[in-house]
Amino acid sequence: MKQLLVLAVIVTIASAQTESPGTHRVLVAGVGCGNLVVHKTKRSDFLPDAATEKRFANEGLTFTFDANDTLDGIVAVGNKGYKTDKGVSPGDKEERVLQAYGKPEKSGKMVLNKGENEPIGVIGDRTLMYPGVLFVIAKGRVWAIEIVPAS
Amino acid sequence: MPTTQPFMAMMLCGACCFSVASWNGYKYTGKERDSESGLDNFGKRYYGSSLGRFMSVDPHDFVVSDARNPKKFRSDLLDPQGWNRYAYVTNNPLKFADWEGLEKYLVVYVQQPVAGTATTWTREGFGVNTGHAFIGLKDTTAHTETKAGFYPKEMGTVTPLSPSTTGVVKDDSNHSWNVKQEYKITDDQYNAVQTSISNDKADTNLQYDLNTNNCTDWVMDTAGLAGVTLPDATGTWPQGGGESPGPLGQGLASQPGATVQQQNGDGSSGSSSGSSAKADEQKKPEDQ
Repeated sequence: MKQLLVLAVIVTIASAQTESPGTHRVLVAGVGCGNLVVHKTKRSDFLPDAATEKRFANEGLTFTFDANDTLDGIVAVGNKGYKTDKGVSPGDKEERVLQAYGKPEKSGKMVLNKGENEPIGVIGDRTLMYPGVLFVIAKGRVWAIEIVPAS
Repeated sequence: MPTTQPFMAMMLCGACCFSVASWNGYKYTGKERDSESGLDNFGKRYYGSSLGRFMSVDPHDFVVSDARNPKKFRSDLLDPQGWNRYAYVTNNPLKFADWEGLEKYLVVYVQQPVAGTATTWTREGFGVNTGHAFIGLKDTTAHTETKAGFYPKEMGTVTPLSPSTTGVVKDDSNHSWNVKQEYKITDDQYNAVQTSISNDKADTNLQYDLNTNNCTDWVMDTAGLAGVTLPDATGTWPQGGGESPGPLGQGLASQPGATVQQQNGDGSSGSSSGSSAKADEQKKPEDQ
């Protein structure tokens, strides 16, 4: 019995140590994901190296940072289990977004630029912007969800 | 092969001078000696070996090369020897060599999406900026520099959802940047890179891929032709990853001698730099 208890403690500790900051997989508009908080968490807090960054990418999360290396955006793509606090996941139909969030504050085409003003592509069909969150729609479905600061 | 007159003579016998030219028939760096004047022809200026100095000032100030590693160079205004414009390689021939009297450089330019960070992309409104990297080839003899970068041929066709398309190498003379690093290269390396860029410009079958063959990949591959290995530039973005201007800029900025600007620009104004020597170098030759 005592051995089982020790084993359970070890498993619990090991599990906690391997838990990534985004484990909760709930994207909260204007806030973040788990203990990753936009406009608060620093790159050095959770991305010590390229290998860690790649691990997050494989889990479906990528990030942007401002000039102070503070988290500026969290992007979820793919079917990796991430969803917003209103239940929208990558892969959901566009209608699901509209049902959950209503009419977007803004909508338009997201342009990919090389440098500041050299367009090389248009990402998806359109992007729906809401306070603190935006949805990139491609072929009628959510391709990416980006959590951004609310203001 | 090189003799080190008169430096070695001074080292061996202090102030007493005798002709070390008789030791063998070679001149340091193999330059031709004018039989009448006794001066060595370095192309752009003559060197008086008996005096241990050039007969005219160095038209390219304060830049010396590392003889053991020709692709590296050093600029250092803090070294008083560098202020002597008649000196040969800051009076340190055992460490440095000036093979031609003038130099050629491979220049790597980076426009980071967020200046000063390794961020691979940034977004403002409905615009995403991935940054850009491009190459310069500088010939200080001819006072020329050509710049080129790799792009998708058909603009508007590349996204993380559709990363591949035909590529094209274009002139980047007017492209802004915020990090610059220069590598001294040999004539052969210069010619190899120049030829490669010309071939790429003429190639209609180049493939651009956002993840595996983008502008940064092209810069790293092209620099490799000159024996220049650039720092790791790996990054990630939604549904992809690979070499990227953000991490490349950070890697270059951490190298000695890099020129770093807080904002993207063409370097003509408002720039700061890693060293005062580099700030001086930012000036165009005709301005000096």
